[in-house]
Amino acid sequence: MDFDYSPDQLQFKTELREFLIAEVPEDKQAVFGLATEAQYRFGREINLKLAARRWLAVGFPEEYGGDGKSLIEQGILAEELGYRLVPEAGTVGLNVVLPTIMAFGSSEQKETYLSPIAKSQVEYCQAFSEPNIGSDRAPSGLRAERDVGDYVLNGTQTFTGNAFHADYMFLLASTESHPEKNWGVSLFVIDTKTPGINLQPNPLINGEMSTHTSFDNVRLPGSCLIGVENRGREYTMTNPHNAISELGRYGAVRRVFDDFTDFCNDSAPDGGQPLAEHPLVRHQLAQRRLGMETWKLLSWQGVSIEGHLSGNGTEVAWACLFGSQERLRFAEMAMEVLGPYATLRNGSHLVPLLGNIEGIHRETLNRQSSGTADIQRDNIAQMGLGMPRLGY
Amino acid sequence: MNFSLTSGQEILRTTAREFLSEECPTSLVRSAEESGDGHVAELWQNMARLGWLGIAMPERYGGAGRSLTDQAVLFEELGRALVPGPMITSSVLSAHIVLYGGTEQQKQNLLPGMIQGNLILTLARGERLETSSQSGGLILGGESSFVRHAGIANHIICATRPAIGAWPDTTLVLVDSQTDGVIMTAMESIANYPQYTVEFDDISLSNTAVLGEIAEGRVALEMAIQQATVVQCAETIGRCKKVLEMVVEYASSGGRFGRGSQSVQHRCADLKMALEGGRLLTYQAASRLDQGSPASEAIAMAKAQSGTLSRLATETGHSIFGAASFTVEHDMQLYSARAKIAEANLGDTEYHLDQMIAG
Repeated sequence: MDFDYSPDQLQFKTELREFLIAEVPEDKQAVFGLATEAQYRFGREINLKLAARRWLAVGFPEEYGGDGKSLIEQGILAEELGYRLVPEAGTVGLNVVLPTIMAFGSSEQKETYLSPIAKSQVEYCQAFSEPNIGSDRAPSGLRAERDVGDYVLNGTQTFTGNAFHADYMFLLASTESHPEKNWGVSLFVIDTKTPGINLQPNPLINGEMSTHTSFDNVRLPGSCLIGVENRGREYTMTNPHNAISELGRYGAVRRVFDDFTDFCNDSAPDGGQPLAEHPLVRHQLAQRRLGMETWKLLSWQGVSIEGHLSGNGTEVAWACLFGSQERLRFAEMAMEVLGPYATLRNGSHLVPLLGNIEGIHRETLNRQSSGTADIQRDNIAQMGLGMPRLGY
Repeated sequence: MNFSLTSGQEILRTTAREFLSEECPTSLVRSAEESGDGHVAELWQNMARLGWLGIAMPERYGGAGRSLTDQAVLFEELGRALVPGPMITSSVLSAHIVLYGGTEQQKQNLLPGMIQGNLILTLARGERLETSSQSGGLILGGESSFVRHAGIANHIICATRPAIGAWPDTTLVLVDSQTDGVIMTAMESIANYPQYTVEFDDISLSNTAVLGEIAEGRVALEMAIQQATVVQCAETIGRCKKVLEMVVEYASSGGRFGRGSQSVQHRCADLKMALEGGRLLTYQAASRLDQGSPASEAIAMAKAQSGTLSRLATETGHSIFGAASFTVEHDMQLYSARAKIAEANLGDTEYHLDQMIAG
């Protein structure tokens, strides 16, 4: 086992860190729970600068705009972007579409779609959920029916994050040749301007805009299908880059944890000893430090197993499940320490830590990314431990 | 960055699992517990022949010269099989104290015998062990509790502090357990092996009984404790893995839970996640020690998590097995007793959380 970066990886991390410190002033940093258009645009600017150095898709082949490095470098990028609180932009393209098409797409699809992502020229959204079905990604209402060489889509999707910014949509739809719940799902890439797609705003409680998306006789050429029919769920579930997304989430929360630790070391609200000297606070900080380390290791394990998948593929679920719990534990602990100040929002003159603690707590209420905790547990038990599939 | 075992480690694991499934069934574990000394001489000799007692000891003393990471892989298997005997106490903790703290002559005298299975060592620590000098040697007095396996140990390493006004720091003293004035009282406990309160009745020792140099034992002791702490974490991982396997099998094979229960499955998933986190924390600590890089924080994190993992495995096992696991006949109770012992050994969760911050 090797828990360290290679010298080249360490150098990349150092250069990247210096670049981000220089390029991301504090007033442009992302704030948890507060997604603004200005931040999004700044995130795109940073992405363009990263892409110019071939750092955005650093772990992908040079012919597609990457730098030919490994998944580890891609993980370093995600963790650093998170830790430097760079506003999110382009992450669906980078962490979902690029690796999936790289693994399962045709050579024509690779030519068409990969390079623009690596160069930060396009934005993607992901439409993996629909009303009352949830992110176990087994839709039955949105159907893609074959019509000669085309597909015709009818139905709805919801929680399509970032759709108004997106040029393309990565979409799961039922393909009717296989009516069984789990395997009749196929993956498509669609231009969002295709006639028949209708986006209705569905604002989220962190300022992000998602959409209800309806499809009314949307006609796609057969070349929009990724891989083969009915394997879409498998393609999206086993994407090792899901662990890279988790590293990004870890990095951002870890940054706020470190800031909070500094705050506890420096602040003595009662005029006496610093918060961190209080035995109960010290104890909680140590527990959360342990939690952060565990989250980091589980996420990196999800990245490092790529190429030698150890059988059941649920490593990423361990990381995502742990992460969703740990960030909530941290936010609740920090809010307890901050008392009523923890309820102040960014913009209040007395808000501690820019409101990031309250923001993490609110964003933690969004449990649908990569599946809710209970779906992760189902997957770990049934796919990972081989326990029976339950009839629900 | 690579979190997989090497092929050599995979072979070690497979070999150990196969050997222990044959040679260390739970019937043997139970009889060792009932015999009173928590030790099975034949199994001990077999493990010595396999090279396990000196797996991480240098080859010049008869060891296998392998890494702490390899030793952790082995101890996962020992934990899984509930192997009885003074493995951690003698072949990890005491052996490393001798290795780090002893003179060359002392290493030659002790390590080969220990590795071959002929010598058993244990450690006595505590605030109340004192040494003072006298002409031509020193005097050892005081008592120490929770001395593991003292009844079968040939030697006791005493970590002593100076009587007031004498030497500034820890002195390690090696005492033959048969010496007059060494008085042992067995402690009744939930441990599967005997622990003792050992009293040293102002024993006169020559200066050659000092392990290394007077007042220079602290570093060796701390380094050995670091090694043993990581090994204890690995043992816990193995034990908890086995608990998970047992409950998954039980909950998936019909019976009480029919075709399956989501709440039970979710408990198993939570234990699996905690196990994986613990495994990574443990091997990270082992890897840091193997590389000679700073490891204190990594070790403290591993052991702090190890305690909560032990508790979760116990709670999960007894919940899912239900009333059956409250019987002596059921193996689950063997695992839960050891879980508590392991949790308390070498610093519990609270202690190590505190160490993390102090570090």
